[in-house]
Amino acid sequence: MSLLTANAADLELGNPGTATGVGKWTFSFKNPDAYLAPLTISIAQPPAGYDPYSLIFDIPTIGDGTHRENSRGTRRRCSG
Amino acid sequence: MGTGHIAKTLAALAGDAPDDGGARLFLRTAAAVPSDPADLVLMNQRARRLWNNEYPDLVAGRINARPADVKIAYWLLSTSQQLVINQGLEIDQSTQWAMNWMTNLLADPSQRRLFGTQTVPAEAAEKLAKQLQQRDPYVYNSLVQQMSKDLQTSDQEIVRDVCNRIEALNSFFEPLASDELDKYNGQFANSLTTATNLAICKARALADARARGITPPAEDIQAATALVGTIRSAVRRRERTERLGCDAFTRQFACKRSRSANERFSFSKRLNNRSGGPRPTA
Repeated sequence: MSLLTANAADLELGNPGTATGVGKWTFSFKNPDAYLAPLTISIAQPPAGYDPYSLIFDIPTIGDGTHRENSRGTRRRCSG
Repeated sequence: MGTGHIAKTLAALAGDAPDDGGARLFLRTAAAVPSDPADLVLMNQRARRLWNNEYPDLVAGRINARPADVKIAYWLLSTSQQLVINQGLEIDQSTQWAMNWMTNLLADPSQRRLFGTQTVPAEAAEKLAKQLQQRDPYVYNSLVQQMSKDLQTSDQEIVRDVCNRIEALNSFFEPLASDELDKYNGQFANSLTTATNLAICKARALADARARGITPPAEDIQAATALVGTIRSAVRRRERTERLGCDAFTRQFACKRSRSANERFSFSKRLNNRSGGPRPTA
Protein backbone atom coordinates (compact mmCIF):
# COMPACT_ATOMS: atom_id res chain seq x y z
CA MET A 1 0.00 0.00 0.00
CA SER A 2 1.57 3.23 -1.09
CA LEU A 3 0.61 6.61 0.18
CA LEU A 4 1.17 10.21 -0.69
CA THR A 5 0.36 12.56 2.17
CA ALA A 6 0.75 16.27 2.62
CA ASN A 7 0.05 19.08 5.03
CA ALA A 8 -3.63 19.59 4.23
CA ALA A 9 -3.48 23.28 5.04
CA ASP A 10 -0.89 23.91 2.32
CA LEU A 11 -1.28 21.25 -0.34
CA GLU A 12 -4.28 19.71 -1.97
CA LEU A 13 -3.65 16.27 -3.40
CA GLY A 14 -5.36 14.92 -6.45
CA ASN A 15 -6.13 11.26 -7.06
CA PRO A 16 -3.86 9.16 -9.26
CA GLY A 17 -7.01 7.84 -10.89
CA THR A 18 -5.95 4.18 -10.95
CA ALA A 19 -6.30 1.38 -8.45
CA THR A 20 -2.58 0.63 -8.54
CA GLY A 21 -1.58 4.21 -7.87
CA VAL A 22 0.49 4.22 -11.06
CA GLY A 23 -0.78 7.16 -13.02
CA LYS A 24 -0.79 10.89 -12.76
CA TRP A 25 -0.65 12.40 -9.30
CA THR A 26 -1.61 16.03 -9.04
CA PHE A 27 -1.22 18.44 -6.19
CA SER A 28 -1.78 22.14 -5.80
CA PHE A 29 -0.81 24.80 -3.31
CA LYS A 30 -4.05 25.91 -1.75
CA ASN A 31 -2.58 28.20 0.89
CA PRO A 32 -1.63 31.44 -0.93
CA ASP A 33 1.13 32.09 1.65
CA ALA A 34 2.76 28.65 1.44
CA TYR A 35 6.05 28.54 -0.45
CA LEU A 36 7.46 25.16 0.63
CA ALA A 37 5.17 22.30 1.53
CA PRO A 38 6.25 18.92 2.88
CA LEU A 39 5.04 15.92 0.91
CA THR A 40 5.47 12.46 2.39
CA ILE A 41 5.88 9.43 0.19
CA SER A 42 5.53 6.21 2.10
CA ILE A 43 5.05 2.53 1.59
CA ALA A 44 3.71 1.14 4.84
CA GLN A 45 2.97 -2.43 3.73
CA PRO A 46 5.48 -3.51 1.12
CA PRO A 47 5.63 -7.01 -0.39
CA ALA A 48 7.29 -9.75 1.71
CA GLY A 49 11.06 -9.38 1.90
CA TYR A 50 10.98 -5.63 1.41
CA ASP A 51 11.22 -2.82 3.96
CA PRO A 52 8.56 -0.17 4.50
CA TYR A 53 9.85 3.29 3.83
CA SER A 54 8.91 6.89 4.16
CA LEU A 55 10.62 9.92 2.68
CA ILE A 56 9.69 13.57 3.13
CA PHE A 57 10.27 16.09 0.34
CA ASP A 58 9.86 19.85 0.56
CA ILE A 59 7.93 20.88 -2.55
CA PRO A 60 8.54 24.45 -3.74
CA THR A 61 5.72 26.49 -5.24
CA ILE A 62 5.89 26.90 -9.00
CA GLY A 63 3.70 29.38 -10.84
CA ASP A 64 5.01 29.03 -14.38
CA GLY A 65 1.53 29.13 -15.84
CA THR A 66 1.70 25.74 -17.52
CA HIS A 67 -0.21 23.74 -14.91
CA ARG A 68 -2.50 26.25 -13.28
CA GLU A 69 -5.58 25.11 -11.48
CA ASN A 70 -7.17 28.25 -10.07
CA SER A 71 -6.35 31.72 -8.90
CA ARG A 72 -5.49 30.54 -5.40
CA GLY A 73 -2.69 28.20 -6.13
CA THR A 74 -0.60 26.38 -8.62
CA ARG A 75 -0.95 22.88 -9.90
CA ARG A 76 1.76 20.48 -10.86
CA ARG A 77 1.50 17.12 -12.47
CA CYS A 78 3.56 14.10 -11.70
CA SER A 79 3.40 11.13 -13.98
CA GLY A 80 4.50 7.63 -13.27
CA MET B 1 9.09 16.48 -7.05
CA GLY B 2 10.69 18.18 -10.01
CA THR B 3 9.16 16.72 -13.15
CA GLY B 4 7.26 13.80 -11.78
CA HIS B 5 7.92 10.11 -11.37
CA ILE B 6 6.10 10.01 -8.05
CA ALA B 7 4.28 6.80 -8.92
CA LYS B 8 7.57 5.14 -9.94
CA THR B 9 9.19 6.51 -6.82
CA LEU B 10 6.40 5.03 -4.71
CA ALA B 11 7.22 1.65 -6.19
CA ALA B 12 10.95 1.90 -5.48
CA LEU B 13 11.56 -0.71 -2.81
CA ALA B 14 14.71 -2.06 -1.25
CA GLY B 15 14.65 -5.83 -1.06
CA ASP B 16 18.31 -6.79 -0.58
CA ALA B 17 18.98 -9.26 2.20
CA PRO B 18 20.27 -7.19 5.13
CA ASP B 19 23.47 -9.21 5.53
CA ASP B 20 26.94 -9.47 3.98
CA GLY B 21 25.52 -11.26 0.94
CA GLY B 22 23.03 -8.47 0.34
CA ALA B 23 25.75 -5.86 0.83
CA ARG B 24 28.03 -7.64 -1.68
CA LEU B 25 25.22 -7.80 -4.23
CA PHE B 26 24.42 -4.12 -3.73
CA LEU B 27 28.03 -2.97 -3.94
CA ARG B 28 28.62 -5.05 -7.08
CA THR B 29 25.78 -3.28 -8.87
CA ALA B 30 26.31 0.24 -7.47
CA ALA B 31 28.46 2.04 -10.00
CA ALA B 32 27.16 5.60 -10.28
CA VAL B 33 24.46 7.81 -8.79
CA PRO B 34 21.44 7.46 -11.12
CA SER B 35 19.83 10.56 -12.60
CA ASP B 36 16.27 9.19 -12.76
CA PRO B 37 14.48 10.09 -9.47
CA ALA B 38 12.87 6.64 -9.11
CA ASP B 39 16.22 4.86 -9.62
CA LEU B 40 17.79 7.33 -7.22
CA VAL B 41 15.18 6.58 -4.54
CA LEU B 42 15.62 2.86 -5.13
CA MET B 43 19.38 3.05 -4.67
CA ASN B 44 18.90 5.29 -1.64
CA GLN B 45 16.52 2.77 -0.10
CA ARG B 46 18.81 -0.18 -0.82
CA ALA B 47 21.76 1.59 0.80
CA ARG B 48 19.53 2.70 3.72
CA ARG B 49 18.32 -0.85 4.41
CA LEU B 50 21.88 -2.21 4.53
CA TRP B 51 23.11 0.77 6.54
CA ASN B 52 20.30 0.47 9.11
CA ASN B 53 21.32 -3.13 9.61
CA GLU B 54 25.00 -2.32 10.21
CA TYR B 55 24.80 0.94 12.11
CA PRO B 56 23.65 -0.29 15.58
CA ASP B 57 26.62 -2.72 15.73
CA LEU B 58 29.07 -0.14 14.40
CA VAL B 59 28.06 2.59 16.82
CA ALA B 60 27.99 0.18 19.77
CA GLY B 61 31.52 -1.00 18.89
CA ARG B 62 30.40 -4.61 18.47
CA ILE B 63 32.02 -4.66 15.02
CA ASN B 64 34.88 -2.69 13.53
CA ALA B 65 34.31 -0.45 10.55
CA ARG B 66 35.01 -2.25 7.27
CA PRO B 67 35.55 -0.88 3.75
CA ALA B 68 32.09 -2.21 2.77
CA ASP B 69 30.51 -0.09 5.55
CA VAL B 70 32.25 3.01 4.23
CA LYS B 71 30.98 2.28 0.73
CA ILE B 72 27.39 1.67 1.87
CA ALA B 73 27.40 4.89 3.93
CA TYR B 74 28.83 6.71 0.92
CA TRP B 75 26.05 5.48 -1.42
CA LEU B 76 23.41 6.42 1.14
CA LEU B 77 24.90 9.91 1.52
CA SER B 78 25.53 10.57 -2.17
CA THR B 79 22.04 9.50 -3.25
CA SER B 80 20.54 11.53 -0.37
CA GLN B 81 22.56 14.52 -1.50
CA GLN B 82 21.16 14.29 -5.05
CA LEU B 83 17.62 13.93 -3.67
CA VAL B 84 18.22 16.98 -1.48
CA ILE B 85 19.42 19.14 -4.36
CA ASN B 86 16.91 18.05 -6.98
CA GLN B 87 13.86 16.97 -4.99
CA GLY B 88 14.13 18.81 -1.65
CA LEU B 89 14.50 15.64 0.43
CA GLU B 90 14.43 16.21 4.18
CA ILE B 91 17.39 14.54 5.85
CA ASP B 92 16.15 11.54 7.79
CA GLN B 93 17.62 9.83 10.85
CA SER B 94 19.55 7.13 8.88
CA THR B 95 21.24 9.73 6.67
CA GLN B 96 22.07 11.82 9.73
CA TRP B 97 23.63 8.79 11.44
CA ALA B 98 25.67 8.00 8.32
CA MET B 99 26.87 11.62 8.14
CA ASN B 100 27.95 11.64 11.79
CA TRP B 101 29.61 8.24 11.54
CA MET B 102 31.56 9.15 8.40
CA THR B 103 32.60 12.54 9.81
CA ASN B 104 33.92 10.86 12.98
CA LEU B 105 35.77 8.28 10.92
CA LEU B 106 37.39 10.98 8.78
CA ALA B 107 38.52 12.83 11.91
CA ASP B 108 40.17 9.71 13.38
CA PRO B 109 43.71 9.23 11.97
CA SER B 110 43.64 5.49 12.72
CA GLN B 111 40.38 5.04 10.76
CA ARG B 112 41.18 7.36 7.87
CA ARG B 113 43.00 4.49 6.12
CA LEU B 114 39.54 3.10 5.31
CA PHE B 115 39.18 5.87 2.76
CA GLY B 116 40.94 5.64 -0.58
CA THR B 117 40.57 4.48 -4.16
CA GLN B 118 39.25 1.08 -3.07
CA THR B 119 36.39 2.68 -1.13
CA VAL B 120 35.89 6.45 -1.31
CA PRO B 121 38.64 9.09 -1.38
CA ALA B 122 38.65 11.02 1.91
CA GLU B 123 38.35 14.35 0.08
CA ALA B 124 35.20 13.19 -1.74
CA ALA B 125 33.66 11.99 1.54
CA GLU B 126 34.49 15.28 3.27
CA LYS B 127 32.99 17.28 0.40
CA LEU B 128 29.84 15.18 0.49
CA ALA B 129 29.34 15.64 4.24
CA LYS B 130 29.83 19.39 3.84
CA GLN B 131 27.30 19.59 0.99
CA LEU B 132 24.71 17.64 2.99
CA GLN B 133 25.08 20.08 5.86
CA GLN B 134 24.09 22.77 3.31
CA ARG B 135 20.68 21.20 2.75
CA ASP B 136 18.56 24.25 3.59
CA PRO B 137 20.49 26.74 1.43
CA TYR B 138 20.07 24.44 -1.59
CA VAL B 139 16.34 23.90 -1.02
CA TYR B 140 15.67 27.60 -0.42
CA ASN B 141 17.81 28.59 -3.39
CA SER B 142 15.78 26.42 -5.71
CA LEU B 143 12.61 28.06 -4.34
CA VAL B 144 13.99 31.59 -4.62
CA GLN B 145 15.19 30.98 -8.20
CA GLN B 146 11.75 29.74 -9.17
CA MET B 147 10.11 32.77 -7.56
CA SER B 148 12.46 35.11 -9.47
CA LYS B 149 11.50 33.35 -12.70
CA ASP B 150 7.77 33.55 -11.95
CA LEU B 151 8.13 37.26 -11.25
CA GLN B 152 9.23 37.80 -14.85
CA THR B 153 6.11 36.36 -16.46
CA SER B 154 3.55 38.62 -18.12
CA ASP B 155 0.63 36.81 -16.44
CA GLN B 156 -0.55 39.27 -13.77
CA GLU B 157 -2.32 36.54 -11.83
CA ILE B 158 0.91 34.54 -11.49
CA VAL B 159 2.78 37.69 -10.49
CA ARG B 160 0.17 38.48 -7.82
CA ASP B 161 0.38 34.92 -6.45
CA VAL B 162 4.16 34.86 -6.38
CA CYS B 163 4.31 38.32 -4.76
CA ASN B 164 2.12 36.99 -1.94
CA ARG B 165 4.51 34.12 -1.40
CA ILE B 166 7.59 36.32 -1.70
CA GLU B 167 6.11 38.54 1.03
CA ALA B 168 5.52 35.47 3.24
CA LEU B 169 9.08 34.23 2.66
CA ASN B 170 10.52 37.68 3.35
CA SER B 171 8.53 37.81 6.61
CA PHE B 172 10.15 34.52 7.55
CA PHE B 173 13.68 35.76 6.81
CA GLU B 174 13.33 39.28 8.19
CA PRO B 175 13.34 38.61 11.96
CA LEU B 176 16.25 36.14 11.75
CA ALA B 177 19.60 37.11 13.21
CA SER B 178 22.65 37.07 10.95
CA ASP B 179 23.83 33.64 12.11
CA GLU B 180 20.37 32.16 11.65
CA LEU B 181 20.15 33.66 8.16
CA ASP B 182 23.44 31.98 7.28
CA LYS B 183 21.73 28.63 7.78
CA TYR B 184 19.35 29.46 4.93
CA ASN B 185 21.76 31.43 2.76
CA GLY B 186 24.93 29.35 2.86
CA GLN B 187 26.79 30.10 -0.35
CA PHE B 188 23.65 31.70 -1.89
CA ALA B 189 22.01 35.10 -1.40
CA ASN B 190 18.53 33.70 -0.70
CA SER B 191 17.33 36.31 1.80
CA LEU B 192 18.76 39.20 -0.21
CA THR B 193 17.20 37.98 -3.47
CA THR B 194 13.87 37.58 -1.67
CA ALA B 195 13.99 41.14 -0.30
CA THR B 196 14.93 42.42 -3.78
CA ASN B 197 12.07 40.48 -5.36
CA LEU B 198 9.68 41.92 -2.79
CA ALA B 199 10.91 45.42 -3.65
CA ILE B 200 10.09 44.68 -7.31
CA CYS B 201 6.60 43.57 -6.24
CA LYS B 202 6.08 46.76 -4.18
CA ALA B 203 7.42 49.01 -6.94
CA ARG B 204 5.06 47.39 -9.43
CA ALA B 205 2.09 47.81 -7.08
CA LEU B 206 2.93 51.51 -6.54
CA ALA B 207 3.39 52.11 -10.28
CA ASP B 208 0.13 50.31 -10.97
CA ALA B 209 -1.70 52.45 -8.41
CA ARG B 210 -0.25 55.62 -9.90
CA ALA B 211 -1.22 54.54 -13.44
CA ARG B 212 -4.79 54.15 -12.22
CA GLY B 213 -4.71 57.59 -10.61
CA ILE B 214 -4.82 56.15 -7.07
CA THR B 215 -2.68 57.71 -4.35
CA PRO B 216 -0.97 54.80 -2.59
CA PRO B 217 -1.62 54.62 1.16
CA ALA B 218 1.15 56.17 3.27
CA GLU B 219 1.86 52.83 4.99
CA ASP B 220 2.59 51.20 1.60
CA ILE B 221 5.18 53.86 0.85
CA GLN B 222 6.66 53.46 4.35
CA ALA B 223 6.82 49.70 3.90
CA ALA B 224 8.59 50.10 0.56
CA THR B 225 11.07 52.56 2.10
CA ALA B 226 11.73 50.19 5.02
CA LEU B 227 12.33 47.39 2.54
CA VAL B 228 14.98 49.43 0.74
CA GLY B 229 16.71 49.82 4.14
CA THR B 230 16.56 46.05 4.66
CA ILE B 231 18.08 45.43 1.22
CA ARG B 232 20.84 47.97 1.82
CA SER B 233 21.87 46.32 5.08
CA ALA B 234 21.65 42.86 3.50
CA VAL B 235 23.88 44.02 0.62
CA ARG B 236 26.37 45.51 3.09
CA ARG B 237 26.39 42.27 5.12
CA ARG B 238 26.86 40.22 1.95
CA GLU B 239 29.69 42.47 0.74
CA ARG B 240 31.38 42.26 4.12
CA THR B 241 31.06 38.48 4.10
CA GLU B 242 32.44 38.22 0.57
CA ARG B 243 35.29 40.60 1.38
CA LEU B 244 36.27 38.38 4.28
CA GLY B 245 35.88 35.28 2.12
CA CYS B 246 33.35 33.71 4.47
CA ASP B 247 30.28 31.65 3.95
CA ALA B 248 28.10 29.88 6.47
CA PHE B 249 30.62 27.05 6.78
CA THR B 250 33.89 28.83 6.79
CA ARG B 251 32.57 31.66 8.97
CA GLN B 252 33.53 29.88 12.14
CA PHE B 253 37.13 29.26 11.11
CA ALA B 254 38.40 31.04 8.01
CA CYS B 255 36.27 34.10 8.66
CA LYS B 256 37.64 34.49 12.15
CA ARG B 257 41.14 34.16 10.74
CA SER B 258 40.39 36.80 8.11
CA ARG B 259 38.88 39.07 10.71
CA SER B 260 41.89 38.85 12.91
CA ALA B 261 44.10 39.44 9.87
CA ASN B 262 42.01 42.53 9.08
CA GLU B 263 42.22 43.66 12.68
CA ARG B 264 46.00 43.27 12.58
CA PHE B 265 46.03 45.26 9.33
CA SER B 266 43.95 48.13 10.75
CA PHE B 267 46.03 48.10 13.95
CA SER B 268 49.23 48.47 11.94
CA LYS B 269 47.51 51.19 9.88
CA ARG B 270 46.62 53.04 13.09
CA LEU B 271 50.20 52.69 14.25
CA ASN B 272 51.45 54.04 10.93
CA ASN B 273 49.04 56.95 11.12
CA ARG B 274 50.15 57.74 14.65
CA SER B 275 53.77 57.77 13.58
CA GLY B 276 53.06 59.92 10.58
CA GLY B 277 52.09 57.14 8.16
CA PRO B 278 54.23 54.74 6.22
CA ARG B 279 57.51 56.07 4.94
CA PRO B 280 57.43 57.08 1.29
CA THR B 281 59.41 54.76 -0.93
CA ALA B 282 62.13 56.17 -3.06
